[in-house]
Amino acid sequence: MRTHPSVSRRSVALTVTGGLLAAAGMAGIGPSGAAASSHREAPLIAGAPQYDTTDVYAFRSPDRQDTITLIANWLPFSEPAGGPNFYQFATDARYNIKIDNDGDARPDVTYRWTFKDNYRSRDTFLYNNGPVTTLNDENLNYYQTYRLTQIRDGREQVLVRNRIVVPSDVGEGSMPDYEALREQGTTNVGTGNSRLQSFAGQAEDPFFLDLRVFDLLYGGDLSEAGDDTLAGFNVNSVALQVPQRMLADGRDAEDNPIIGVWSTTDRRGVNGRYRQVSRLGMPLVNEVVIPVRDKDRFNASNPRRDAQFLDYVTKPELPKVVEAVYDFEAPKEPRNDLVSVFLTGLEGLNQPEGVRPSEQLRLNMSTPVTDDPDRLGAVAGDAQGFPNGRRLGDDVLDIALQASQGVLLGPDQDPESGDDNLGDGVDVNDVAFGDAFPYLGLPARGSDDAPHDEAQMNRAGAAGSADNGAGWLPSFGDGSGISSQVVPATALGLGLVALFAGVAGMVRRPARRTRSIA
Amino acid sequence: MNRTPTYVAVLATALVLSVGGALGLAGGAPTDSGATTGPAATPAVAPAGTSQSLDETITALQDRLRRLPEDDSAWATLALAYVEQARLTGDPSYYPKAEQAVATSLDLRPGGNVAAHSSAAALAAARHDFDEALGEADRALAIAPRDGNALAVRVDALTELGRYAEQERAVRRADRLQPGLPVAARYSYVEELRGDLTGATRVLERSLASASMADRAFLSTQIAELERRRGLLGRAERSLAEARRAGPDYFAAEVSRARLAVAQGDLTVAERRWAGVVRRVPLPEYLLELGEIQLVRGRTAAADQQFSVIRTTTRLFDASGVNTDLETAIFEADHGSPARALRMARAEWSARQSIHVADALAWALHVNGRDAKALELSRRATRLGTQEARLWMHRGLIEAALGRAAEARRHLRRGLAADPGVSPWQAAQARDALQRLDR
Repeated sequence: MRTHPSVSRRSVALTVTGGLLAAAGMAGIGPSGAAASSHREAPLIAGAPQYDTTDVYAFRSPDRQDTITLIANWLPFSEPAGGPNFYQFATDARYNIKIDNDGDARPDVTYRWTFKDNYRSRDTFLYNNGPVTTLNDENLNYYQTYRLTQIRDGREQVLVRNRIVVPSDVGEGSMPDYEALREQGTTNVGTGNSRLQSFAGQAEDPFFLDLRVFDLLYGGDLSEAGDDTLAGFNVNSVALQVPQRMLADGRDAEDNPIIGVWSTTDRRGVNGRYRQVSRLGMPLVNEVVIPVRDKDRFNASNPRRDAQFLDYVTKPELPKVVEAVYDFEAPKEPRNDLVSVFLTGLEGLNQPEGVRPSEQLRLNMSTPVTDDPDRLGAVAGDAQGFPNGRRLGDDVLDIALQASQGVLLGPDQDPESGDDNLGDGVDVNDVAFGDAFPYLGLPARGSDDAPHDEAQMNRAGAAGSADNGAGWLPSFGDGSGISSQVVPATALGLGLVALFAGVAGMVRRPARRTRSIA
Repeated sequence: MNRTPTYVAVLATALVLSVGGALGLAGGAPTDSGATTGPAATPAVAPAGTSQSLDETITALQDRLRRLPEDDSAWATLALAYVEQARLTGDPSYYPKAEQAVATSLDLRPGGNVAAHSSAAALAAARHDFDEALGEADRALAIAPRDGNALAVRVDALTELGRYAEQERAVRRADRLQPGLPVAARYSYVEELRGDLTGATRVLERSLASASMADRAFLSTQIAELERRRGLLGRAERSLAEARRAGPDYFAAEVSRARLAVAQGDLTVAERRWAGVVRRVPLPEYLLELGEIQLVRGRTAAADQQFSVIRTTTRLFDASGVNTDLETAIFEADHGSPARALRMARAEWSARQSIHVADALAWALHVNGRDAKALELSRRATRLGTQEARLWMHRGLIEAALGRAAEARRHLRRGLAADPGVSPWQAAQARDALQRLDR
């Protein structure tokens, strides 16, 4: 197990994202560049993490398969030891998850969360005045409440009002049984199979990657990678489990199973009007596909007008960078193969009929839930994984990098050696996900001495896919129920990867390849 | 005079994003000074144990750049960090470093480098080169029309250039494109400059409702400044207590506490607090406040010491490319060479015609016996109805010298009522003149 004594995780978090995201209140810095994960988006947003969507997840709930679970996160890099500096949702913002269920790039269903601050006593800035054992505990001096509204066909319906946001885990002494608080934080709406479940509160950041993978943009080197640089940082999450028919066009999930999902944040201006300041659907798009100079524009944009960003998809910057660093020839442009991945969904898997191209996380709600999810998702033949929706455990970064392995390693690669796979060396999140709603990992505790060290313990060996072909030609196994749906290799393998490695039609030269050693 | 530091602050802040989202620029803590700049910035000081100090940030960026020297955006970010550091420490030697970091970033990415132009705009504004700041902000906006930092610096530059109609348009546009605390702080200043302290306070209070802890220190301090000037000393004290809870060592709050002590009439405490401010950030405008309190308390030798430090510091700023003409002109007019004051004020006036420069030039003309011309400038300085003590006191004193007794009385009273926290030495000049008029 390697450690990097010379580079503290915190400084990686700080600088990789350029946005100095670490603890609230740091004199941070604005614009910064490299494409990093959503944890560093538009310059302006990077400085306002309360408004900055970091990730969106949408998946068929494994334990209630007639429902879909939607999750969105904000406030990346929340240090567990936040002290009196709690991580709250903004009260002048509207947090939205939007659903396009007919492929026209307009939201048909919107779920909107708004938040309020509450103080039991205004005389103290203390978060709590003693141990907090229930959400309604008098000792919890400051707490937030939320309202959840569904907007559909121009009608607004309040689904949840005035429920408590599960507070930040400030530590053992203050919250002896945090798990109990988490459980109390799940609200049920309705009964039977129309029951919804809703949650808002803190969670460990489910995204896992080594942010240094993005250093390759600056001539960095992947041998440095291998730590979950997000380990032990928390986020603020909203999660909603909702029956499929509530999301489907015509409320018919059988005939119209494909939905597109994205999240936005609106912020109120001095003039009283709300403006969209953040937008996120597919992971990595906001940080890898859209160049820095256009991030604010993208964040304010609406999917109907995504044609304006088309060139970034068809002529991506990254393969050129990879070409320079790794000596692989970037594929020919225009990259129409990428269009299906990022803008339309994959034919036969999650592409709606007559789709208007726009960047959304597209999910086929009818794809059966697998008992054995593969972290490499659809690329490894697990059709229920990213980019068909996104589960918490989908290794989106490696899906992109690993899919290119066969090409990167050449035909003479020894299939026995699992550690030659190009990747960031981080295959699993540092904390386990739950098997019931809201599925999110419990937040790292404020009383934990070294919250960021767990990743070291949990790093998986580079478990590359056993079959080198798998990255290329997804073979949907038995029981996948979609054998008829052939996912074009170019779309998946090339699509995702090419972004990084420019695989299509790549000509291999002697590469200065580095290994990710687990 | 709150120009330099404030400006430095402003920019720095403006450009600097803090994680709590705190960014602030703020309505310039208008001081009694004739030269308040707009936004004062907010150093995002977080509660103990959570804040990542700027030093640590700079070290992390430097480490990254040793590893990845081609990271153009890290260079631009580092430049911004240096600008902020200069503001927090009052040490102008960070400006040349910032300049170098911006240049490196631009070498690496000459085209489309939003971050570098944004940082360059911040740096130029911190050095009071507002034409350059405007130019750089516009270059950034040409590439990325929604760049929040550039939108904010653009407002500041227009403010300091005295282009008030454009300032108002720019702030509305910024609010449409990139709402948030940086814009709200400037919005508040737009209202404050036009004499609407209640409206200015309201904007800040609305921001307070959704502000992070780091932002609260900044906002509460700005609110306290406005409350003091509205004569609400008890409320100002409570707001400063809030600021202390939110950020125990937030520097701008210390300055505000020193002014509050003056307003409360306790010059012993005021001198101690101003001395603390100066120990932390020895900027000319703060040294001047301390020196003037010492003059009033009969401690002439101590005051002279502050004044000689001002001269030294000014030379240092000049060497770092920071333009301090406005501050220096007012200092020279009151405590030094009237001829030099006039030379400097004229130089500044040729560069920009803001109300504060008009005031400095008016005052320099007055101490050189050019009262008719001085009145013309002083009327320009007060044309927005800005409620700042020094603007009205200067106008009243000039009118008194011209024998326009009725106007002089009215304006001297207005100046004395505008801010009980104004320098007691300045207030004494105004009161003496009123007495002479009433004899």
